[in-house]
Amino acid sequence: MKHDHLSSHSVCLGCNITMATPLFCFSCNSIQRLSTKPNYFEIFDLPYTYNLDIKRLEDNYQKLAAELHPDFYLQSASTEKRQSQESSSLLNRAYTALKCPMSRASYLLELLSHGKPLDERKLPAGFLEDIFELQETLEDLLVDVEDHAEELAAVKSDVEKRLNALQEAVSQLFGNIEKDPSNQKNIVESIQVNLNAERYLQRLLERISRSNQV
Amino acid sequence: MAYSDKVVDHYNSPRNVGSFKKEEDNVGTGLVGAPECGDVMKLQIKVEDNRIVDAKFKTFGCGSAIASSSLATEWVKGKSIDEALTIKNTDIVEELSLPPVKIHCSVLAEDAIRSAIKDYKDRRTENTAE
Ligand code: FES
Repeated sequence: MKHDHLSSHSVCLGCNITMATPLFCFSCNSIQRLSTKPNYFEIFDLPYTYNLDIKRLEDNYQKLAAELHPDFYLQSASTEKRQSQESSSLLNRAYTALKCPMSRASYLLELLSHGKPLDERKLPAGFLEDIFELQETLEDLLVDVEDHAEELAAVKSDVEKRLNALQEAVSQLFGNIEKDPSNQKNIVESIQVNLNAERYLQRLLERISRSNQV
Repeated sequence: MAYSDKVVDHYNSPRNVGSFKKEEDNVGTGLVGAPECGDVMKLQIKVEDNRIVDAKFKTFGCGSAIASSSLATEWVKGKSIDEALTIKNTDIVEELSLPPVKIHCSVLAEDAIRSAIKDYKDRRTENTAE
């Protein structure tokens, strides 16, 4: 999955130099007109991988956000003005999608499955039963949050542990694709199953954190 | 987002909350989840002579999901198994005036009915096979 980086780099429309990002040329400082929708990884000059260099993502985000901000284009031609709005919002979408491990994984799966829909319902065996039980436990505890603070914390850490285990598995599975590309289809499906499961655990965490606010 | 009166009514006084013993011979249990949001719903039916004589549910989800399952238990009661299978999520949407973003909550209830009936049938054939 480590795609050849250079091949996907675009060339600046103004100065013809190969750019690190399709959104902006840092060599002649010009915002780029986008004809096609660039890939999120390309925007941040990052390899297509789940195990991302988060620091680099953040640095490149800040750098680009500063250049593309619509405030700087108030006096510019209307096409540039519009482009800065479009690129800024694309940049934000791309950043949000790649920053969170779950949405980063979904985005990668989308690329790997070439837009073919994946099974969003399939879950590990016995998983729904576990979730239902956890929800029931939670229900009892939430009757009196103060009284059950310790048990609630225990459930929370249990759920977080499960979530971490799933994310760990997802990360390994992505690594397996790189090692064994011929098995990509099966691995993609297993990753999807893990992601499906993550959503239910997220939901439990939301419920716990909501209870802490009251 | 404002809930319709009927949703509020079911939400405030849900019908048939609870559960039957899963192991009981004439009970079918459907446990389903909504992939969109991670909510879960359990719906159980009690069957006598191919007729659903009682139903219970327990839902961990939004108000629309609770109302949908509450309504579903009301609707399946007294119906034959085949009749119950004709209940569509769109009927629930209509009855509760659910907005488009809440359609998946009604789908959850339809899924739950189907999977409870399937569980009941599966266990039947298992028992008669013995
Ligand atoms: S939002 Fe999850 S079932 Fe309604």
